[in-house]
Amino acid sequence: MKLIKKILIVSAVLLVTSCAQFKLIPASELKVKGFSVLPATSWSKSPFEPGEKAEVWTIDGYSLNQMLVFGEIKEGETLLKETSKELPMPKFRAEMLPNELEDLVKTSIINQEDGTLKIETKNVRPQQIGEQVAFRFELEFFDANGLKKNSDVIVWVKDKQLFGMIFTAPTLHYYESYKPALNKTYNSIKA
Amino acid sequence: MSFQISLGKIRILLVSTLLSAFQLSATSLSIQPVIDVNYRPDPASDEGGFWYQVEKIERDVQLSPYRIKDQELNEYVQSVVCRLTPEYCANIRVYIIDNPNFNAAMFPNGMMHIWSGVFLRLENEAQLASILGHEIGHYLQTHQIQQFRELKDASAAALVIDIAVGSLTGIVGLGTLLSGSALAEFGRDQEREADIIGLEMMGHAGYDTHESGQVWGLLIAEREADLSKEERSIFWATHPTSEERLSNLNNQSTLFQEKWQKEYTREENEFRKQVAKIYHRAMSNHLSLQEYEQTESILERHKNINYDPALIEYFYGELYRLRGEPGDTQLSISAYETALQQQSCPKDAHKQLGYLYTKEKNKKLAKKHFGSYLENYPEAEDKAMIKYYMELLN
Amino acid sequence: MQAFVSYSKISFIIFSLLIMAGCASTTNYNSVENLNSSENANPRLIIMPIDVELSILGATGVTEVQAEWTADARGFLEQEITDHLAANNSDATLFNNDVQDIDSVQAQPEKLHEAVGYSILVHEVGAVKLPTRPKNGTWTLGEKASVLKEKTGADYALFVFMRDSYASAGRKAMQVFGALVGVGIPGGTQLGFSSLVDLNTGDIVWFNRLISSSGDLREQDSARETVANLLDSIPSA
Repeated sequence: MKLIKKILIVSAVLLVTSCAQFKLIPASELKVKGFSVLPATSWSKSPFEPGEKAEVWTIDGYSLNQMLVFGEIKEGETLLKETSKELPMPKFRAEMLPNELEDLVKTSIINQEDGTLKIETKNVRPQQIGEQVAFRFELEFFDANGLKKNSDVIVWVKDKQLFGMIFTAPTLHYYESYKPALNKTYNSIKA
Repeated sequence: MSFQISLGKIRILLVSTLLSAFQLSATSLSIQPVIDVNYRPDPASDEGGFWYQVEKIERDVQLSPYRIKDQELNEYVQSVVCRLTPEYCANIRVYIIDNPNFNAAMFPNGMMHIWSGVFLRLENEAQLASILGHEIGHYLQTHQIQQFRELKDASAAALVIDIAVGSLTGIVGLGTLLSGSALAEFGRDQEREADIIGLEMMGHAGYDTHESGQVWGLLIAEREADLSKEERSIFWATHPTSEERLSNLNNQSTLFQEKWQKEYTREENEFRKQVAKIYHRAMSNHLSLQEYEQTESILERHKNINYDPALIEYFYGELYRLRGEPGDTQLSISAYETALQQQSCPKDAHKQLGYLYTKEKNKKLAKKHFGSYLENYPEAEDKAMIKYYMELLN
Repeated sequence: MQAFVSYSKISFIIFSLLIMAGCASTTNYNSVENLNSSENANPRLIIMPIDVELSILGATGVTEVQAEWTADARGFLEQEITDHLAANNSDATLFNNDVQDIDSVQAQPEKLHEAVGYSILVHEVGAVKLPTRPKNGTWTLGEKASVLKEKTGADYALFVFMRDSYASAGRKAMQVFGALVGVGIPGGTQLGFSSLVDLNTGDIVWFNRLISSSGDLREQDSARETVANLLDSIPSA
């Protein structure tokens, strides 16, 4: 029943907005959301925007691999759009430290997924991207259908604005097999 | 040690002897259950279809990663159900769902959900019994199928299922559920019936029935403390409350105790021991709701229950840190510092203090706490991050 | 993915889809010519627990699962699918994956199959094309799906999902709207998907979608026709 509903709604949404189709993002350097990156593989950019300053890419479909790309998020703004007034999105503050950015990312994902995911954090570390220091960490959780997933998050704060990318894929096969390409992609970021 | 264990056994024996002495069964209720112990609906009926779907949900719930599987806690809750209704106990399967909101739900086939948020609000076993008893009341009276049929006529039956699915693992969360325009609401009469059955079961099982009113009192107080959202939880949406209901419960309770004079207990110790096992997890989840007034009122009450004071202070630290209002940094620092004076404080308080002192530009204390954090967790998932900050501070 | 789209819009689209779809239509994806077996014998298939639900479309437009029909339909499908595969020189057995832990090698391939199947449905046989997906490119669960092979000895796993609902005559005109008030499909319509996973590679070698405005899974003969429609394009052994 859940599956059917999801299919109906998703196909309907996508058909209604069929003028806005997925667009190819080739594997070449691009400027996006105020920074530049060279994706190691090509991506399909979704017509759906999860946040005012965020876009989402996929290769094989949202639930198999997705890349959330965001940037130029200012003090008091949110990473993702609110899906419900009952589940407010946490607001970015310029002086946030890594522990707070971790909470911001996690709560944003949780509240986008209706508020009840439990997310584990792993492997938090700094990563140098050019002159800029970014924070990198991994997340692990079960989605609403019981599929286990991982995310690889890179975020940084520059000129009091939040930037970053979040790759999410099922733990089984999809996450691990994309890892080399993902590392290449994140290493290519110019803040 | 063995002495205590055997005492426990004797207590259980005593309870069961008492039960049989009182000839306690559902038949001693003033409202007769609609279904008998072996009830199953005709698979060709609408009720058969409803059960079919609920059974499917139950299989998902059994596997859900959002189910709290702690064996002792589950056995404990089940034992309270059996104390309330030895007759139907085997028909009722309680699943503890990891969700910090306050909710309990009964399904027509005997599946019951109780969210971990319930344990954060209650103070003793008698109060837990009042929630369980109320839900068992809905089950014995087959309220859910009645509600399903009423809504079916109103083209809204799908919503009942949705709510079932929603509460399934707590996965389809409150937001989704509340965005539906017509929430499934048990009728006033059904709520009253469930209240009466719950209360009588409590009383016959030897629980202090006044605790039933206490639960409503607690919930009303919490809702009043919650300035931001008047009717947030699904529990309030489906269990309309009023001062009237509270006074009804209290009156019923007094009448019951006058009629059946016996020893009534609240059973605090075992309840609190069990809750302590999920306390850290449940409070952490509650904080992630960002409902800080509510968290604060819960913590305030926990001070009076003998949960570990170090943990309570630690969660005050978490609360102020996450809330981030002016002055909260100082409040947070002082709560973590107090908590750390006791052995049982989670040692990641050191990490939070490290970051807070970094913010306060107090390099010395920041380094000290980052250092203690790494000493305690040399393999911490964020050790690289902490080391980086310690170097920055040099 | 927030559903800002009103139900009437969705119903219009489903309606159009059905008109376009005609009476009984199947759309499939296929990446191999033949099924292989590991030991010079008939390929061995396991049939994963069939996800089937039959519903009745009530007077007010609400679909309601009918447990008895559903149980009958499951029995018919299990038998007809086994027979159909036998006629295709495959040895098929019903498989009941007794999973106790969601975070296990038994449970996760099945969950991943749901996600991959959903992508195939929307992006491969469906209308929403992804520029990053070549037509008839590989869809896979990854090599770890071979745990099912280790457990069962089978070469392939067959997944079947089926929904069917029945409306009263008076409801026919309202069917399209009714589907959306309830949970399923317009009355009297079958919707099914099936896929075949190669348990050596984890690749999905065949996938089929069935939409049909005829057919009746409450009857064995009719169920046989549905199974034939659904499995007709499966690669031969």
